[in-house]
Amino acid sequence: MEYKVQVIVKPLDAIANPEGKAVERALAALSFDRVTKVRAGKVINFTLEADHPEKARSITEEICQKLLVNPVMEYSEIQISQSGN
Amino acid sequence: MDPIIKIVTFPGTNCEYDVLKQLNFLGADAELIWHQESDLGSCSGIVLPGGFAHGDYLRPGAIARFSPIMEQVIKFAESGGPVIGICNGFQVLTECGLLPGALSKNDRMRFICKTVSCVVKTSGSVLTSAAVAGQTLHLPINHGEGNYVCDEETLKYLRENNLAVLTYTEDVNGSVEQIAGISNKAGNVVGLMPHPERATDPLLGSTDGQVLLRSFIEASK
Repeated sequence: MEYKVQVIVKPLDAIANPEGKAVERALAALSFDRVTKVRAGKVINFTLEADHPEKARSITEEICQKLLVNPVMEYSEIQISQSGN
Repeated sequence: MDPIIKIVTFPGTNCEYDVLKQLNFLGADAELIWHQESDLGSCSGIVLPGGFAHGDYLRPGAIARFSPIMEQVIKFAESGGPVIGICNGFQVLTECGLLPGALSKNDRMRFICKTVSCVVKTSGSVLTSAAVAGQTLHLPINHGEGNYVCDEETLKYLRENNLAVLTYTEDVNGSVEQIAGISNKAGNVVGLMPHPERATDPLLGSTDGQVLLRSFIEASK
């Protein structure tokens, strides 16, 4: 079965996020001055062949642990859905 | 063949020739080694130089740590061989687990390229053995992601073992405790954000990098 996987990598709360801060300042300059707490991370999408959704999740968790996420600075959220293809 | 210093070159590395030239200038035999190699050959010391290995994609050093040569670099380091990582090389050393913590984006949203003052905190590492604790060095930095971060437990470990070998004299990038470079507990693996290879000639504005490279050359004999 093919699964669509989305990994959202977010900066840990304790880690400064200058990208989010820059976006927040730009929004304030555009008069969106009620926007606060902007944090920017990244989204990584891929498809994955696995026998069942639990397997797709465990493989994705391993991928995150080995490469996609550095736990000193980041954490991740994983979303998995069955591919339409 | 006598063992010589190997300078690891990844796609995107751009300081390898500066390091090579300065090591040669200071009397050491050194040569470049491509990241796809799986054999270090006759090796007395390793430099992971600055640049943007694998484009710095994902995170600086995140992909470089899986280059074939890194398995040998880790083995060499774990057997006590001298290894230094400069700038991007420091990022590779944290990503591969040879050094604790990580280098995150500079605070204040800017890439920093300037000469800064650093203090040598200990001479107990392969990069600082010829220096004196308390000595101030003027060294260039050139990075966007040099903000050293780690958890409380790691910070305690660094403090207790005196592993922050080099600190900035002022807050330049947000690094915890103004850390510019750290070593492992054995002192044979050191990572630093400043570029000692760019501070070896009066024409470059400082020769303070020499004492660090000399320490490393001595450790690599």
